[in-house]
Amino acid sequence: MNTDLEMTVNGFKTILKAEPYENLRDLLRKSGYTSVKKGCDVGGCGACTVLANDKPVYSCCVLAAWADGKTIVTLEGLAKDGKLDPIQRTFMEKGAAQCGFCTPGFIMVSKYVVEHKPNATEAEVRKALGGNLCRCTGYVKIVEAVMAAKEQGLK
Amino acid sequence: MSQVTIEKIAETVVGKRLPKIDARAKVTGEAEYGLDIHLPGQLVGKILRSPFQHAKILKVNTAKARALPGVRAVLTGEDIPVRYTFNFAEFEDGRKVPPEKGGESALRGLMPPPRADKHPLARGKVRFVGDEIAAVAAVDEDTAIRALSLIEVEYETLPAVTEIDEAVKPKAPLVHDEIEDNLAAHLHGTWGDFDRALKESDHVFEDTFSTQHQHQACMETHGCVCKWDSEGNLTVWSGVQTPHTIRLELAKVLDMPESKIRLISKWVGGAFGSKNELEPFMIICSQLSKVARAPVSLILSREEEFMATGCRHPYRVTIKTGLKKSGEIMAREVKILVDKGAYMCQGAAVAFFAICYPSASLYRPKAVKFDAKLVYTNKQPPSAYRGFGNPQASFAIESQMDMIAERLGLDPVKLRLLNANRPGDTTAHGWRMPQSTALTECIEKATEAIGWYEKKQHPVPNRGLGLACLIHSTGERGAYGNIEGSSCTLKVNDDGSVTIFAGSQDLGTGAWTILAQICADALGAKFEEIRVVAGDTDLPAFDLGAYASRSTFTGGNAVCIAAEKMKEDIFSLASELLNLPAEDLGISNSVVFSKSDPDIKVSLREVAKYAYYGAGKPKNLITVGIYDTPSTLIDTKTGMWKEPGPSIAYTFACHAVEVEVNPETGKVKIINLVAAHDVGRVINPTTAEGQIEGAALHGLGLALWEDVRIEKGVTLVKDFRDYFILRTPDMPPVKVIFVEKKDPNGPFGAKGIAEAALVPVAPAVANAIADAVKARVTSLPMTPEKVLKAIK
Ligand code: FES
Ligand code: FES
Repeated sequence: MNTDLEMTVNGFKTILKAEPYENLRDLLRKSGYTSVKKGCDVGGCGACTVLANDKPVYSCCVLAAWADGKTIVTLEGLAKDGKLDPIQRTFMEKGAAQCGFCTPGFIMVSKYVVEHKPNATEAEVRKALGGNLCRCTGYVKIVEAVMAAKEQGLK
Repeated sequence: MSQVTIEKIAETVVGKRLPKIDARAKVTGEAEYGLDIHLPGQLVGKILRSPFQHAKILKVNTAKARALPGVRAVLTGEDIPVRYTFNFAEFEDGRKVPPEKGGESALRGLMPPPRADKHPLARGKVRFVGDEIAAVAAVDEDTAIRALSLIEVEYETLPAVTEIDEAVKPKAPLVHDEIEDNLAAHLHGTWGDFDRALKESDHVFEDTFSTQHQHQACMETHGCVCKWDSEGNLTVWSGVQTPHTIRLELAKVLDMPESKIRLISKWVGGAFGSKNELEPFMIICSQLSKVARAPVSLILSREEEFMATGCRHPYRVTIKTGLKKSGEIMAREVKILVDKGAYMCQGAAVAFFAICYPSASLYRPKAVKFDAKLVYTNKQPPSAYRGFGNPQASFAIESQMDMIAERLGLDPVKLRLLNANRPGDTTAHGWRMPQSTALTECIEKATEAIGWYEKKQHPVPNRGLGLACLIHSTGERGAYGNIEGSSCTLKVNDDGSVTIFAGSQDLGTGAWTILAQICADALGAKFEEIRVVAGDTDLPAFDLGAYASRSTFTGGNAVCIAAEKMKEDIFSLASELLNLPAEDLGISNSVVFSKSDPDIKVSLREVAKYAYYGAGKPKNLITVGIYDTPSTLIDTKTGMWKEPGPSIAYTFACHAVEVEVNPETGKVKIINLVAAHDVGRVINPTTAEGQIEGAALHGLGLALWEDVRIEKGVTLVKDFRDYFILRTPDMPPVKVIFVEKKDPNGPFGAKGIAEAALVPVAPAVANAIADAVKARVTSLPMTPEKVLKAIK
């Protein structure tokens, strides 16, 4: 019953085999992209957030087949040649990751915000992060990290 | 019980905002949590749970499930015939006290002996919706789920008791047939001359408060991977708080030596108290793996997490306080009714903590009387949650403080200042408050930062201010046996870098980074060249685990001790290399130098090379640091502690909150939250702030929204759509204030912080609501409905 899906994952053209009912998160996880976390099953936590054609999506809420032909980026794909993406660096520097379980999802949304809304105010950044849950940080340092990465990007 | 004097050591790394040493793995996705472990041949485990609150199990037929292709193991209660419970304080003076002697408890006399009341898979009957009945392991998740649906269970439903008021009635159905009145445990006693203290009081007030089921809701659900080898060794991968003591309990249940179990717990996706005891899933998974002769992964779903893992115990707390005319507190009586759910877990210990901490030791009551009843109900069993009973009791005590202030026409700030704990105080139960006690300063700083007196002079309609104080532990002697310690092995590698093999656990708090920072200054080594290897029971290190806000204190002191010894070894080798007396040597930034002529120096790398390859004699740079706090156990004859009590570095805080209440809707908006904490020396401001900011999120949830609604024993919350956790746009600003009064026993003067900041939030919010709309809400969460009702 497996279907071949052709997509670009983290810059590489790939063929992934998926069950027709399988969601994108489970497909990515079983294909080794374990940064894509499972925090729930219903789009409630954002831990599974990936970029699909440059937009953040809850990968648990779309079928794997939906991603056929799309470009997917997971957290594994952000660092280039061993160099961390600025948003990864500011997450480190600001202490935005405590247990780290929500971190992949948060970084993926933040990456989108930094790239596509460079002039966003803090309130807008907070709104953009509203789909992701973190139980450890109280979001303070996550917001700081995004603001810092945005500033670096603007320079 | 050795102690290192760190006074003279320069702080170059301690106190710095350094990124966590494991941050890179977390921002790259390399961190491997339990659900990311994938071993060759790994199977998927699943648990079948009871759909009934209370029912007899007549028959379990697993034949069809077993026949399903791809199913490798099916287990029922008959296959795992052990009974167990979380075994709080199983030792006394290091010796195991057998259950038949009723010992088993370092708190004997006040704590009931733990009674094993849980089977990993139910036998005879089920006691709550979600009780584990059977389990399967299969080649994939789909097959496992199908197999569960093929297990046929015949039940005979029994009348259920789901509310404590029903459960305590005579003739109520019994949750455990052998436990009369559903009374799971009864803790009662007195410290000091209570009657006299009450008689000497000019005013006596009694008020009742209640709290809800709050869920830890860790982003990573509970789970583990288990694998056996052919010699009968079991390896368990699971993100937990307490690898050694969970292993101890698992070994007991499986009747095998502890050392044949290796628990690997490097990454923990949030814990907050929920991952510090042995839970059914781990026992079940180990047995599935054994039967299937393959590794098995058993990860709970979010729904299972909400319905079957221990949340915060709902309390009904009645506080009676006697005071002098001046406002001086004389006597306090606390009566607690605990909804224990179907099983004991850590219930008695949590209640005991609620009694010993805020009830007996916040402020200075001369005498304290307590009575806590834990009542079984046919509901999911709560257990440990950040704060460990303190939030429930503090909500009552600190709400009542404001009610008393109002009744007596006193200023709530002054009333607290008058009664604030002071350094060197001894409590009614014999605890000595440390020299680092700074509650007074915390109250002053918090009220100043929120603009208390200016705002009081210019009140804004529907806005209000509230404050609440806290006492909490830094470590807690008596949780396991008679130690409150930690150990580590320190190794200077042959390249001069340093590895700390630590017993301490890091739940994302930054504890391992703290150890590295402490090591950098205590040893004089470069921070960037220190690694921490931890989270594995096979390491040469031991620790009771990450609970009771103890890791910085106990783990940090162990590192200081190991570092002192290491310096001796380094200096003795360097003195050979430099031809100088060891006393003349110092070390900083991984360079050993002559104190009399700092130009004469040798790098730690060269010393290490010499040690391992050149000294002409084997000299390994490996030292061990073992630390135990000079805390004390309860004296079982008197029911009191010898000073200083179970912790030696009690911590204090004061939170001040400003709210705005909509009198039409009852909705509460948090304008501002100030948290002042006397954390001793702050080792890393970023991680310390992170603890307070994160705890504020839990505290606000406890205050206003979070509730695992359970109706007639059925958990209504299934996922995050039903359980409201604050999200980024709604999180109010949190102002953190550190009152850095060094603790004489702490590593570089540090104390614990992780749990404390959750506790004062709810009462501070309640007091602010009362200030805003002159309406007192005494039950958590303070939903708009309750606020409206109080206004009317
Ligand atoms: S796992 Fe996708 S939103 Fe929670
Ligand atoms: S860092 Fe733990 S959930 Fe966000």
